[in-house]
Amino acid sequence: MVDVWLERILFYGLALVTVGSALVVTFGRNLVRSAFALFFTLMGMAAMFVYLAADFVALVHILVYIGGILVLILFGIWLTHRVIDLDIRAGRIQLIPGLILGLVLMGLLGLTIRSFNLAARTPAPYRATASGIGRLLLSTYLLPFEIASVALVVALVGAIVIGRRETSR
Amino acid sequence: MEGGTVTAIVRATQASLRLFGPEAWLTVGLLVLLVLDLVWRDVRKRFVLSGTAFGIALGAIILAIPLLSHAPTEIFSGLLVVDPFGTYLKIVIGVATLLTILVSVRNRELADYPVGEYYVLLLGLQLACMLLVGAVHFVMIMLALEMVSVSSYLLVAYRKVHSPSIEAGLKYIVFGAAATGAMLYAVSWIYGLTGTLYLSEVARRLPTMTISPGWLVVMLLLSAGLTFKIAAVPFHFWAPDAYQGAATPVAAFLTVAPKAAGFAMLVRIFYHGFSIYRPEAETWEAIPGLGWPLFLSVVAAVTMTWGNTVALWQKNIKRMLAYSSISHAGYMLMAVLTGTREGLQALLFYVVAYMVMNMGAFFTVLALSDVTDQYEDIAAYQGLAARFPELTWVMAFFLLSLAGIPPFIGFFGKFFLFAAAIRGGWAWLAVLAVLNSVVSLFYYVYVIKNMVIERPGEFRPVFSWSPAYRAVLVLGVAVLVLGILFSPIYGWTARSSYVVETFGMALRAMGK
Repeated sequence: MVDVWLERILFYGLALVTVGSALVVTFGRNLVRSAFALFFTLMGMAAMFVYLAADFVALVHILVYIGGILVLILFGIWLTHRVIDLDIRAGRIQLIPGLILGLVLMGLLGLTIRSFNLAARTPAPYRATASGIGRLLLSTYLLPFEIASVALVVALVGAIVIGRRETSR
Repeated sequence: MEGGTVTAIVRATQASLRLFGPEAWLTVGLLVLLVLDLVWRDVRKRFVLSGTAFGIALGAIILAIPLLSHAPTEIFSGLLVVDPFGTYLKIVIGVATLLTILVSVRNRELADYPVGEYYVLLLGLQLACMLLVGAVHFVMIMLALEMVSVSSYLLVAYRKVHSPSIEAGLKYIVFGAAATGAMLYAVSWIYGLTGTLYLSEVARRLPTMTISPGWLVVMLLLSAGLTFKIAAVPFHFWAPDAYQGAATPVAAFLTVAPKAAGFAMLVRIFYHGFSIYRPEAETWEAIPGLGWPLFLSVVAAVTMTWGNTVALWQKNIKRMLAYSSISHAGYMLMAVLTGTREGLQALLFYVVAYMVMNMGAFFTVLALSDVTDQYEDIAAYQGLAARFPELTWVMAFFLLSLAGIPPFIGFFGKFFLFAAAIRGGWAWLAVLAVLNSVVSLFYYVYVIKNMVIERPGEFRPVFSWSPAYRAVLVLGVAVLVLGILFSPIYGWTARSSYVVETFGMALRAMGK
C-alpha cells in the first residue's frame, strides 16, 4: 500500500513540475528564464516515458531535446544581440478564444481517455526496448530508417547554403 | 536474429527495390549531383549541373512509366504501395520537376546563388513528394511529409540576400512546424485508439470500435497537417508569402508538386484509413461516426470562396496566382470528398490540367522577369501585348484556362470535377464552385485587360529565345492542344483511378 502511495506522489510531483515549468515557458517574460524552464519540462517528459517503460525513448528524448535542442536555444540566445532583456510575451490578443479552444480540446480528450478503462488493464512485464527497436529499424522499418538519412542530407545541404557567409559569387 | 529471418528480410528488400526504381534512382542521382558540384569547377558549371539534374529527373520518369500498368503491390513490409494511381501522380510530379529545371537554368533570380545545392534541394523535394504519394503507413507518411516540408522551406528561403525570401521561409517554417506538430499528435491518438499505424488496419479495426468524441479532435488535428500541405483554409496563410518570396521557378514548383503529393496523401488517408470500399458501386464509404466527407466539404467550400475573394484585391501577380491556387485546392478537394471512382478520375485529370496552366502562368511571369524589371506588379502589365505579343497570347491562354473557359484544358478539368461532385450528391458544393469560377474570371481577365487593352505609349515587339520562353510556349500549346484532345489523358486517368480496395496483404503475410 505504501509503495502505491509513494508511486502516486512521485508521479503527480513530476506531472506538476512538467506542467508548471511549461507554464513558465509560455508566460515568462524573460527568454533565458523560459529556456531554463524548458529544461524541467523536457526532463519531466523523459520521466513520463520512463513511467511508460519506454527506456530507449526516454534516453533519446534527453539526448535530443536537452542535449541538442535546448543547448541550441541557449546558444541562439547567447549569439543574438539584445534578445536577453526583450519582453517576449506574445500579448493577450487571443486570450479568450485560445482559452475556449484549449478547454474544449482538453474536455474532448479527457472524455476519450476516460472511455478507456485503464485500471482494468494489467501492465505488461517490463522488458528493455532498445534491442527490439533496433531489430525493427533493420527489418520492418528499414525504408524509413534509410529515407531519414536522405532527408537529413538534404536538410544539411540546405542549412549550410543558407547559413554560410558568401565569400565569392 | 537467426539466419533464416535475415535471408527473408534481404529477399523482401530485393523484391521491394524492383518496384522502387524511380525513387532509388533519384536518391543515387541526388548524391551524384552533390559530388559533381564539388569536383566541377569551371564556367560551364551551371549548365553541366542543370543538365545532370535534368537527366536525373527524366530518368525517374522513364523508370516510372513501366510501373504505370503494374498491379497494386505493397512494398517494404507494407509501408509503401506501388499502384497506377500513385505512379500517375509520380509522373506528373516528375514532369513538373523537369519543367522547373528547364526554366531555372538561366533564371535571373537564382543567378547569384549556388547552383548545385539548388538542384539537390529540388530533387530532394521531388523524391519526398514521390514517397508521400506511395505512403500507406503513418510513419512513412509523416517522414515523407517532413521531408517535403523541410526541402520546401529551404527552397523558399534560398535567395537569402533577398529579405522577403527569408521572411517567407521563416513564416513557412513556423506554420509548418505547428501544422506538422498537430498532425503528429493526431497520429499518436490514432495509434492509441486503434493500436496500429497501417492505414489498412485502421480501416479494418475502426468499424468494430465505438467512435468516441476524441475522434473529432483527431480529425481536427489531422486536418491541420493535411490542409497545410495543400494550402487550404485555415492553413493557407503561408502560401501567398511563400510564393511571392520564393524565386519564381520554385514558386511554380511548389504550387504543383507538393500539392499533388498532398492530395495523394489525402486520398490514401481518407480512402484507405477511414473508409470501407464498396466494390459493387466503386465507392469509398466513410466509416460511420467519422463524417469526414462533410468535414472536407466545409473546408472545400471555405477554401474556394476565400481564395477567390482575396485574389480579387491583389496587386502583385504572384500573390494573385497564390490565392488562385488556394481556390483551386478547394475545387480539387471537392473531388476527394465524393469518395467515388469518378471523383478520383476527375482529381487525376485536374492535377494535370492544373500543372499545365498554373506552371504556365508562373513561367510567363518568369519569362517576363528575364526581359523586364517590373514583372510582379499587375499594373505594370499595361501594354505588354505590344511589347511581348507571344507571351501575352500564352498568358491569356493560361489565365482563361485557370478560369475554366473552353476550349482550354482547365475547362474540361473543371467540368469533370463539377460532374463528379454533382453525381456524388454534392450539388450545393458544385453550384458554389461554379459561382466561384465566375468570380475568378474577374481577376484573371483583369490581367488580360491590362496587357491587351491598355496602351501607355508605343513599343516595338521584343522576342528572346530563353529557356523560359521555350517552356512557356510549349505549355501554351499544351494548354490548348490538351484542351481539345483531352481523351488520351482522360483514358489514362481511367486506368489509374482505381486505388486498391483491400490493402494489408503484406501485413497479413507477415502474420501480424
